[in-house]
Amino acid sequence: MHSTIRENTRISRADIKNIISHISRIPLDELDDDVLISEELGVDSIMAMEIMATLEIKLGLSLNTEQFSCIDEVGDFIDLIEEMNKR
Amino acid sequence: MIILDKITESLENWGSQPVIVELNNDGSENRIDARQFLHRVDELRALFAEYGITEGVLVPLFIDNSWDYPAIFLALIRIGAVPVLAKSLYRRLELNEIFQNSNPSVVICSVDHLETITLWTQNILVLVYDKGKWSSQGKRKPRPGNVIPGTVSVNYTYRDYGYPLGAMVGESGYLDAVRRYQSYVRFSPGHSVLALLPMSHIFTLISAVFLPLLNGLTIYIINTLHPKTILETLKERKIEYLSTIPEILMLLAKLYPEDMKLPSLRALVSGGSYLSEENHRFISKCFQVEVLNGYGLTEVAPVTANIRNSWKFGTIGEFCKELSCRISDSTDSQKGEILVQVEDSFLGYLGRKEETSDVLKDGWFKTGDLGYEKDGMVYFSGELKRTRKVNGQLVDLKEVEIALIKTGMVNEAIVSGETNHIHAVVSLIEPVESEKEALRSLRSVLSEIIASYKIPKTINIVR
Repeated sequence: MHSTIRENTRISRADIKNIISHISRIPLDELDDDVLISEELGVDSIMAMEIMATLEIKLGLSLNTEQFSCIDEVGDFIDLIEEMNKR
Repeated sequence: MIILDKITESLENWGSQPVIVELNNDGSENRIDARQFLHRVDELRALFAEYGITEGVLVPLFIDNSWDYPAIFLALIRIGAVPVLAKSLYRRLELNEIFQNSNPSVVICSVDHLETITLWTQNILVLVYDKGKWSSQGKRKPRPGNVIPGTVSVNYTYRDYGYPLGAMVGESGYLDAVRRYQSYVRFSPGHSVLALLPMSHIFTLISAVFLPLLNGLTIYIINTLHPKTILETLKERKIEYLSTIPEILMLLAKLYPEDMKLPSLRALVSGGSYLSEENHRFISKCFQVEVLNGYGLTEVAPVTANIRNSWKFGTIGEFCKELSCRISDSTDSQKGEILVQVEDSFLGYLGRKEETSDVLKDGWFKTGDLGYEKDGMVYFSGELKRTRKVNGQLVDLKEVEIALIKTGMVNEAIVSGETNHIHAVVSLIEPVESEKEALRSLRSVLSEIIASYKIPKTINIVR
C-alpha cells in the first residue's frame, strides 16, 4: 500500500522513475527521458492517474492535470513534477 | 424501438432533477433537464437525417464522453441507423479491421480524433463533432450497411481470433440488460450515478447511462480519472452510486483510505473486469458500502450478479434468473465453460458467420470463460480463450502477436499475460547491438499499429 506522506518532500528523478516503473510494471532501464509515456510505454489513463496521485501524496502537491495532458515524454513529465515541487 | 419509447416515457415523467450534469475540467458545468435532453435527441435526429443518414446505415462513433454521447446514440437509433461503438484509442490494425468489416459510408468523429482515422475516411462522409458544434467532410451519401434487422448497435469486442468482432446487439441486449442490472443493484429514482468510463463500453452504457435514463436517476459525467477528483465529486455532489471497474475502486481505496467518508454513497457497482475476493473485501472495508459485482460480456450482460443485501465475497454472484445459464460438462469437476442462452440480445458478429457459429451452439452462447457453481453462487475460474483484461479493456493475445510481426522487426512472438499485465517473448529478424534500443524501436512502431494499452509491459528478446 502507498504511504500517505502529506508534508512537502523533495524527490529525485530516480524516485519518480521508480514510481512510474512500479505502477506501470515497465522495467526501470527502459524509462529513458525521451521515451513516450503513452505511445511507447502503453501507460493508459488509469495508470497515468495512479502515477500522478501517488506523486501528489508523496510530495504534498496538487498537480494540475490539464498541464500534464500536453506532456508526452518521461523526461518532460519529471521536469514538470520537479518544477511544481520547487514552487 | 421499445427502448426509445421507454426512455421517452421516462423523460416525459421526469422530476425536477437534471437528467445529466456534465462537470467540465474548467469548473463549469452543463445541467441538462429532461426537456432539453429530449429536444437535443430530436435536433440531432433532424440533423443526421439532413445528412442523409437513414434506416440501416452503420455509423461508427469516435467520440468521448459528454452529455451529447447518449443523445447521439438515441438520435441514430430513432432514425433506425446503427451506431458502431469503437474506441478512439484504436490504431492501424484495429481500425483497418473495423473499417473493412463494417464498411461504413459515414462516421461521427470528434475533432480531436479526426487525424487518427483520416486514412480510412477519404471516401466517406465524416460528421465532425466539436463540443456540441457540427461540420462535415466529404460528400458521399450514406447507404445502409449489411446488418441483421433488429440490431440496435454494433459493439466491437474480442475472442481470440486476432481481430475485433462486431457484436450485433439487439434491443433486449439493452432493455433486458438494464432490467437485470436494476433488479440486483436496485438504484432508487431521484438518486444519482457517476459515469467515469468511456460510454463506448457496454458496461458503462448500460449501468451508467441507460439504467439511469430508464429509472429516473441523474447521470454525473466527469472527464478525468483522477482519484481525488472522483472522490471530491462523489462527496460534493452527494452521489449515491458509482459504477466502474475494480481497478478504479482499488485506486481510490488504496490512495485515499482516510477520505472514505461518503455519507451519500449507497452502493458501488464493479464490472468490466474481475474483482478478486481479496480486493472485494478491501474495497468493502474502505468504503463501508455494498460492493456489487457481476459478470457479463459485450454479447450478453449481466450473466451473473451479486444482489443487494444478498451477496458473497469471492463469487461473481448468482446466475441472473431471467437468463438460462449453465456450466458445461467438463472432465474437471471443479470448472467448466459458462454457457448462456442469448436469444435476441446478441444477433451474431457482423460479417462473421463462421465465428458466430463457433460461439453459438444450439442457442447456447459459449462465453469462453470458466467457472463453477456452488450453493447457488458462481465462481469465476479464468479464461478459456486467449484474452486478458487490462484496466477493464479486453486484449486479444493473438492480435498482439500479429501486431508484433507486423512491425517488420519480429520473426516470432509469443504473448501471454494475466490481468493488467501483458508480456511478450520475441525473436528479432535482424541481430541487434543494443537490446534496449531495439525494444524502444519495437514499442514505437507497435504504438502505430495497436492501441497503446495492448503494448506488452515487458518484452523479452530471445535469440
